[in-house]
Amino acid sequence: MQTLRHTRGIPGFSISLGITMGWLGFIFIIPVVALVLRATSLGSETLLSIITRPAALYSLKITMGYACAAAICSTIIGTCIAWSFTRYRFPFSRFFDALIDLPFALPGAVGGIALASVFGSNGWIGKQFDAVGIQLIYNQFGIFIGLLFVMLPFAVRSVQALIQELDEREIQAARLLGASNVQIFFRILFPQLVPGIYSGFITSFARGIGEYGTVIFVAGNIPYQSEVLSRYIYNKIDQYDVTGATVVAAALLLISFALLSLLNISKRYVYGGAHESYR
Amino acid sequence: MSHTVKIRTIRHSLGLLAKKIISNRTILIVISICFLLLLLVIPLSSIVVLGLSKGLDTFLGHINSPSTQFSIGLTVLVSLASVIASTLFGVFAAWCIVHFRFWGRRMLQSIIELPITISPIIVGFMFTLLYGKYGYLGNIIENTGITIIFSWPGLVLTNMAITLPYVARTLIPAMESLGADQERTARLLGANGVQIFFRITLPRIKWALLYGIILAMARGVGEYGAAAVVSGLVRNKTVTLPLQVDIYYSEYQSVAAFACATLFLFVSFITIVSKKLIDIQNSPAKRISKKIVGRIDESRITTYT
Repeated sequence: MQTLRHTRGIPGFSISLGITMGWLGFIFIIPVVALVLRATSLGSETLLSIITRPAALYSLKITMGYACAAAICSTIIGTCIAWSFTRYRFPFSRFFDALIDLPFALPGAVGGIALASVFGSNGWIGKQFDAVGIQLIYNQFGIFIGLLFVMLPFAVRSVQALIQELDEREIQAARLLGASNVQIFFRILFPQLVPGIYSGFITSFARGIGEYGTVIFVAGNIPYQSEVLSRYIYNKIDQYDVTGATVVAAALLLISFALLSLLNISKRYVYGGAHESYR
Repeated sequence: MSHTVKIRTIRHSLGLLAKKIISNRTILIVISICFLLLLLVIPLSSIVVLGLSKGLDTFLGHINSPSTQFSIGLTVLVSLASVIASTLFGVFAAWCIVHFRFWGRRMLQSIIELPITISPIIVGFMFTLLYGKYGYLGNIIENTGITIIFSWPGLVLTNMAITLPYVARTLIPAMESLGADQERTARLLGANGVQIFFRITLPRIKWALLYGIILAMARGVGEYGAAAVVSGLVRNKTVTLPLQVDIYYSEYQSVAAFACATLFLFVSFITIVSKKLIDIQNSPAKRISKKIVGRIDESRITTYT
């Protein structure tokens, strides 16, 4: 019945669905299927032997590890940034707030060389650390810095929407009833921000696993040391090792799919229907 | 007795201290600003500083050099094509997802969002597998004499795949929040689909649409990973501007690289400013004032996250 009620009146169902499915199939679904078919046609033994190559496993490990670490870090700092730029007004607060979108609007290569120019051993910041014998980039910490840069807008914006919707009266009521700041934060504010923090974390994480542009300019890309999975695939393509690239790419694709479905399924539980408008 | 009192005073003063620290907005603001300075402001301003380090003439010389000019042109063409595709797709996808309930609707919605999180390397590689020399359609394509991979059509295709979701995912929540009552009324009054879209829907979603287009444009202009896979880096043929930055940088022509990067910084500032302007158009105050004067309330725009 609901279907009927909803479709009545508005025209263009078949044409819009047809164009959507046709274009989506052409530009995205068929290529994905091609990749998966190519990977599965290899047989499970070849698949397993390629995926368990030490270099691939090592890349997988550091990619997942640093994506997770950077996502946690960026979610915490992102919440802090979103809070201070949304709740407080101070000179240039709007300017700083607008800046947060820059990593999204900039090409990966540009962000990468910007970070490299500052954190490298000749850069303004890298020089200071170089003097005491610490190398900031071209190692695993470089991956972390690059990922933080990329994840920042995602982490900030997903919490910010919820911070804007917070009800000031709730905080005042709690304070009147004698709650301390810590209590107010953990009992009233934090539970309301959880959906945003959660989806910020998952999006950052998913984004971080596949990141290529910014990270490769600051990671150094040394196999068994600082080569992220995307770079590993790129190298395989570059060496015409199509099989190797296909298998690892399919594995990475699978991980991304799994993460996104996890997000979609768990969304309902975390949100509890409270923020239906927020996606 | 005095013991408990003492504990209470200690606890009280501790509480006061904690209150002072936590309620101290300066700490939060200082942390946030320091982090942004370190990660964003200093690195990005160093782009401009290094780009201009050999003087304005060298800077302009690098930008006017034939290979840079070519890559700028190619980037504009490729991203224009993909933005148009993303816009058309976004409008149709939003129309059918918002206005109709059908089997697999939610799944369609999540599939549309997939290209955002998938590694760009994979996106580029998928097309190589399909249209490349050893790809499934490689033979057919070769017979027709068209090359897709290592040529501009490959760049256009990958760029279209990368920018695919942006318009759709800003339009869907915007149209959902508006509802379909006005469209249905228009239908009752005898308007056809095209009229409904251009006279009723489009004026109400124009800001959301513009926002999506800007996001798609920003993403399309700057696509690097996927382009790196399918481009093959044929000079003056398949090198887009982000790839050109990479080439300059790896050839130790860092001033040229930073000069091109400055162009991107400029473009991204335009992106951010227009995003802000659209936000202002959509701010609650404006929405209320529009409601008061009897205008249609604008749709809510969600972020790209």
